[in-house]
Amino acid sequence: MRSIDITADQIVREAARYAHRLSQGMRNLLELEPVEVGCTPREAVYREDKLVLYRFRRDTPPTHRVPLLIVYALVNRPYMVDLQEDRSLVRNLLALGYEVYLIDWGYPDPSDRLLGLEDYILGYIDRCVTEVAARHGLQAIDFLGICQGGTFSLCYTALRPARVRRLITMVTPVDFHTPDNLLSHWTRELDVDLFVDTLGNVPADLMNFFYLTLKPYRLNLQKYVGLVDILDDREELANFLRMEKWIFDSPDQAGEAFRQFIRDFYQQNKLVKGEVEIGGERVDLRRIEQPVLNVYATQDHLVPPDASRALGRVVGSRDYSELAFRGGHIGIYVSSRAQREVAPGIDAWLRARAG
Amino acid sequence: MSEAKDSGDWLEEWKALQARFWESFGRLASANAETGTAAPERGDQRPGAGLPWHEGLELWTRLFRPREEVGATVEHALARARQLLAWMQRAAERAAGNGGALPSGEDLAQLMRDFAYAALPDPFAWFSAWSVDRLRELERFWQPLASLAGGAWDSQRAEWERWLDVQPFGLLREHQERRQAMARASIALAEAEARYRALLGRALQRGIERFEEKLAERGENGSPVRSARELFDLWMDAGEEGFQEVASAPEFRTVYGQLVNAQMRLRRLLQTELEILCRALGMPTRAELDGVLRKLKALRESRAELEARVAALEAAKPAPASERQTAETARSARRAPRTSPAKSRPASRRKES
Repeated sequence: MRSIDITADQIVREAARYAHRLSQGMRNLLELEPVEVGCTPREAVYREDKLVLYRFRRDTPPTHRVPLLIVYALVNRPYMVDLQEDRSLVRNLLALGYEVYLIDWGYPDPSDRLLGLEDYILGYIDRCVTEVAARHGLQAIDFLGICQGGTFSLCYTALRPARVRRLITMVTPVDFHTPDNLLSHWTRELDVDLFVDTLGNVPADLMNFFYLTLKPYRLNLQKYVGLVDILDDREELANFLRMEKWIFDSPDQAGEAFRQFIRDFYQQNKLVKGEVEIGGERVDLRRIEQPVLNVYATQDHLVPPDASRALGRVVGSRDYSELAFRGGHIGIYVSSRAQREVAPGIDAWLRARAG
Repeated sequence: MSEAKDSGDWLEEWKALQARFWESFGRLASANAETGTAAPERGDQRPGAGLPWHEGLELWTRLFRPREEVGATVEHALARARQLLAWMQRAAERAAGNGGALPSGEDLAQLMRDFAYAALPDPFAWFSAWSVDRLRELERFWQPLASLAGGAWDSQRAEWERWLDVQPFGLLREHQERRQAMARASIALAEAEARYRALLGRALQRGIERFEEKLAERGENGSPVRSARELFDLWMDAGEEGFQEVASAPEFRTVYGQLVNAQMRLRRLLQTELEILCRALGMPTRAELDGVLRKLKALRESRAELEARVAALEAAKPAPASERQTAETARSARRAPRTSPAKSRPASRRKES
């Protein structure tokens, strides 16, 4: 049996169809309104340097007493959790009765190159917690830490356990040395001191280039060839452009924080060993005794499931749960499955631990 | 062509071009099927240049250029579309020269290889991006050395290294020493790049092998590939698998690390040269600014420490909170305490409501 059954005529016809779709899609691209991101009304409740702490507005009073603070990663913009009306973790949580706050780290510039993990975790996060807790008359609040923000949340909770009531981590790396972690593999022999001393802040373009080369065929070729398939669907096209904006709208990385994160977490895997030090204080995940929900994505190529699930082995909490999401690192925010499963999963877990 | 035309004109023009191009593409494919001839010679070396759809895609690119919102995405998508269509054209030519059916084996592998070389990103694109024009003048010094990293390099390496080891002296001693360091760094980078490119080549080859394996499986399973797009997607899967296999190996990790480190060493030396130049012209430099930032950070920390002490003293005066709260508040405040609303709050830290 032949393995390829394609004739020259077929290829010509297929190429013609492809080019026809290109031409048909042209009108859609011309007429498409500029895409907007971040759909839910919000108010800034605290600012410091480039950080802004937002509270998302609710139409109705919350049905939960304890507010939820979302701590996002430094490496992308946090509007991914509120990308558009029908793809918004924030909107889904609001609909389930929660008060939701979000830390927007802003775009570090060269004057921020000396910001380290201590500044982010024991400085900015701590002051945001103080602000949110004070607004609600509480000592401790709920945390939803995402990706690197989840790692920060773990560190914070271990260092300031009295300030965190319940902790949810999402696509959060904990064991950085699992065999399938390409990101970690590639950074292992990087001279990170030379790197940061040379560059200062790590440019966003360099970070993006690095991420694209993790899957060079899919992310540089297949994705854009496939764009033709959706050119005639204005809604899908807008979704695509919105996602492109998010992917490439990346902040530079503050040099010192990058240095520490790469060295202590990616290269030396100190978090699982209990050896990370933030501001002179040792991060011992066994000190996390509050309920923990760890949400991971089964097809995550940036934070492989095992990298995330390692939390179960090292966390001190006796109330540790996992929620497996069938999808990837991006799909966990924006796929239609995510809209059905993630916020309701979080809600069910929190409700079971209310009171 | 003027870009002032309205979109209606462009669309009509586009449609007419499309009709002409596909008519000629069809004729070309038929002619090739009869004679087995190759595509015409092309002056423009981009994929698809000189082929029937090329002018149409160029027209479209020009049409979108003024729209910044979609321009970059369109250009990127068009570049990929152009590559895919060019690949389809070549595939059609090969099929035409093979009795009307797409060939397999090495002929197909070469087709895929050409496509990948044209379409995959330049692994050094980012690095070259910061070689700004001003620094290119400095590059003139070491580029002849770096270019030797190819075939002629091995035989001349020892000779060059001997010259680079010569101890400099005289008024320009320090400058000469830096130049030598830069030349060494440049050579090291060229060598690291060569090792990295070799691994990328291996990944590509492995992708081809996986592709052939997948094709063989399709044949054995009685489910042949029936469209160019399906073939393309199969190649993407195979290419990615081949790449992941090579990129996950310990050797890749080492070579990748060496490459980035070599880039950074050279970048740092370039930065030093630029700083010397700036200082000579009385201009502020990155190092100088970093020094100011360090002092500023130390001052902020010192202020935070003082504010923490004040806060702790104030907290101790009235009815104290629980011991644990006080201790925790003090610990938090030590990093950068919140001042009470009645007192002056630093402009950088503001409560909004």
